[in-house]
Amino acid sequence: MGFNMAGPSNTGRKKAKSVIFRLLLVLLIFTAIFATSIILLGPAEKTSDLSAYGDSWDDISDFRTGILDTSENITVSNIISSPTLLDTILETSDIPVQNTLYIAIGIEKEYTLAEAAAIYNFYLRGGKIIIADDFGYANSVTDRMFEIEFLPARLWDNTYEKNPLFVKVPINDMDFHGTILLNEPAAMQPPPSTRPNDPRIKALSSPLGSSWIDLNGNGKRDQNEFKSEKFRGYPLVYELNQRITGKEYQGRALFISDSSLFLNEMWGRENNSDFCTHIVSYLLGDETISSGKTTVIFDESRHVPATAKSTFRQTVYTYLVLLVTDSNLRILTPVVVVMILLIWIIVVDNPPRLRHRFDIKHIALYNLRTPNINTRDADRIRALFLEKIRLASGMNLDEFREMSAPDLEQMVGDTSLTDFLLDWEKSYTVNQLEGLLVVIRDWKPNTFFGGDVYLD
Amino acid sequence: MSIWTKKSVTLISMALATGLIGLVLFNIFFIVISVFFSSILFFSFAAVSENIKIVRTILNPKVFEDDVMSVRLTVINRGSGFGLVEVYDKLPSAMKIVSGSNKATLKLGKGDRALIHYSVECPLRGFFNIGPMLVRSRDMFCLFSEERERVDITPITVYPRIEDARRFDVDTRYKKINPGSVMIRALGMGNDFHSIRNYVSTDPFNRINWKASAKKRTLMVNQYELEDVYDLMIFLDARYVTKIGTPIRNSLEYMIKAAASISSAAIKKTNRVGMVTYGKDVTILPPGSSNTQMETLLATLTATYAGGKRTFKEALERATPFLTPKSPVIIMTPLQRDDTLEDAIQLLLSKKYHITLLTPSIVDFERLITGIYSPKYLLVKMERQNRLAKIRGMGVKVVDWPPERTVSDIISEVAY
Repeated sequence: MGFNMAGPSNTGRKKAKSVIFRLLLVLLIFTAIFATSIILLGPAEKTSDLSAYGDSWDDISDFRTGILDTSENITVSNIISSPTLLDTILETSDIPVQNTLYIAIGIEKEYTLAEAAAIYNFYLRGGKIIIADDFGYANSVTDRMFEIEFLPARLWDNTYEKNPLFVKVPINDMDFHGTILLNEPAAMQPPPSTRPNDPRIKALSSPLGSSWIDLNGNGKRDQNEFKSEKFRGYPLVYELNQRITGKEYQGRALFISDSSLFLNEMWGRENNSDFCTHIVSYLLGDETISSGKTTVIFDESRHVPATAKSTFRQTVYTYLVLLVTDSNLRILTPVVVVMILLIWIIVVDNPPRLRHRFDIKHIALYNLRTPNINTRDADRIRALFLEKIRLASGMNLDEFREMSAPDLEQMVGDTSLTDFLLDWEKSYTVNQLEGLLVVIRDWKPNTFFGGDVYLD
Repeated sequence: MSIWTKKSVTLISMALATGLIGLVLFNIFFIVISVFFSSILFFSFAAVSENIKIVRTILNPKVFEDDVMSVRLTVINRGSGFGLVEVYDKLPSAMKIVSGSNKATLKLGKGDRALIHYSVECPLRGFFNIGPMLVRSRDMFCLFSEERERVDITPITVYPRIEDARRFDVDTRYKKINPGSVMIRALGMGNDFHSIRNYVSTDPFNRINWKASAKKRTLMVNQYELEDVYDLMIFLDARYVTKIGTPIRNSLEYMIKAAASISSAAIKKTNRVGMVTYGKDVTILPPGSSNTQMETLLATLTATYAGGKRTFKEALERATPFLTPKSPVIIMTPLQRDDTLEDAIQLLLSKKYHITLLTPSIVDFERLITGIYSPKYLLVKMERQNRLAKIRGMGVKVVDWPPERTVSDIISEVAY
């Protein structure tokens, strides 16, 4: 039967699209909510090497523990999204900026301009910074903002421990006296010529031995890889200080050309542990640490995540941080999301009402699809009338065919009808045909011929 | 798969908007509100589930047209009873609910049972299915719903209505030996009165009509009609043109009702009835006289739908081997779009079949629907009258069937 079942219809493709769209949206929403919850409330997890939260030999958890052991006033937190969060943290945290130390050890990816600006702004406002790198990625912030350039090449020296890879560096500065052991350190360029005597810049150079930089990485000392003449060794640590008008405290930054110094594996070597914990106290200041709360922020976002899951997580976090820190995204994202939601609200329909519809009113027409006759029906009407005459006369077809025109005219008894029957060339309008049809309907033979008089 | 509602989308939009505002402004208050909204959504989403059992019982799955069928649904909750359950029993659109409802929204506790009763009227013959059932679960806030279709289908049969045709009989002059009765307008030893005549010495006394004898003052005896049985063959036109009209008021439905009624009346009198339907194909049911034959006839008529263009002549050619010589034949056709009819009728007449033509007027069905008395209607109507006159002139009993006339009225006209 051609009747439709009542009730809601499942339209395959359209419904599938709708379902996918909704799933994606739900996924997005829940991802955002969970990511927000985690970034605000959740603990950090180890994502890669040189993590302050990993316990393996190539992590720096001992350094984090050493800092915490220094004083109960020090708290440790981390950034796993983007350093742009520094601005927001400082705005919302109850710990003053001068009591905050930002540490980035082992930079594995470059800083964006916004991130570099956030770090520099943090420094200008009195924040403390330690950045240790030996691959040159730190240049995206140090060179761009501080005019300190890390060299992406290995520093060799003949003062080493057992193996030339482990360079021993005596330190007699920054209120520290001891020797630190570096592992495949890099070096930094001397201060720029524009700032040769800048008192805010202090460099600790490599040993006095025959240090050289393997610029081409061939493991040999080439002609152009000579020692700087101005400095008696290559700079390994830069200390920068920034006075702030009207403030007693100042921004302080320490750039170290080797991240291996902080590794768990290197922690007990020479005076590494002492040096590492000392520079924290040195930057923050002992009085500050003892007098109030201080915080150390490890930047975990500069490490390349070890797994796809970590990458996804870090990407989501980064976007969320950008969302709250980037002025353009802060406007654009809500606008876009609200527009999508509005469209969704408009598009989504409530489930169709389940209702039985009794329907047996389908109409099928055949003869009266076009209720009017036209001029082409003249022959049809003529044939109809002739058949009517024949049936009335009781003749068979052969007899009727042999009937003469005068006999037919006499039988019909109407001139207009006779003309209609005999003059096949004459054309008739629709109105004329309709009139003729009525006349034919009412027509009755003048005399009874013995045929079938069926007329109404 | 859960279906979102406008309410849930609005709530999730609010959750997202407050969450975004909280993030942008770094305001924990908005984030808490967002988490609150999200929690409601999450729990509502998780709460949408159903574990119910539904049993459908139909007391009378085989009915006649216009009869009422009772359906009972037993719903048993086997789940937790968290939220609402909406049960909807799909019905063919040709069925009309006369009491109760095929839909119910239930709040069932664990292990609860609910009964849903409803009755449907079946105005259209045919084979139908009741079901499948749609079960829609909702959470307590009606934020989400989950829809499942249960493939629980109950086939039902709606036979064409058999009108009262006790007085139906067919004129035939050719005797058969089989049991059954038919008046053939010849004198004989039947039970139906024919006339009275003067007594002759060979007449049995129980035939004497004493009242008439007293009146005439001479012995008169009753004469009775000769009884016989016949093999009736019905040709039913089921071509696509026969569905012109509405699903209920069209020539095919009228003809099917007439065929069912005539067959029933004939078989009740132990005559044999066969049927040939033609349209999309030619279906032949050889003559038979039992109740089984009647059921088969009804099933054949129930399964007959308009379609195809097979002509009467094609049907006759295939059915000729099944025709009892010189038996009565009833042809049911609206005549339209079949030019072979006259020739085929002539062929039957030449073999001395007794033919009755029952012809619903398609053009009148159309006029009834459209309400238009147009020139085109007049033209087609007059053509039809010409054709009926022509067939009538061949010696066929022609019964023109306008839509206004009832089946029983027409059957009495078909009977002699």
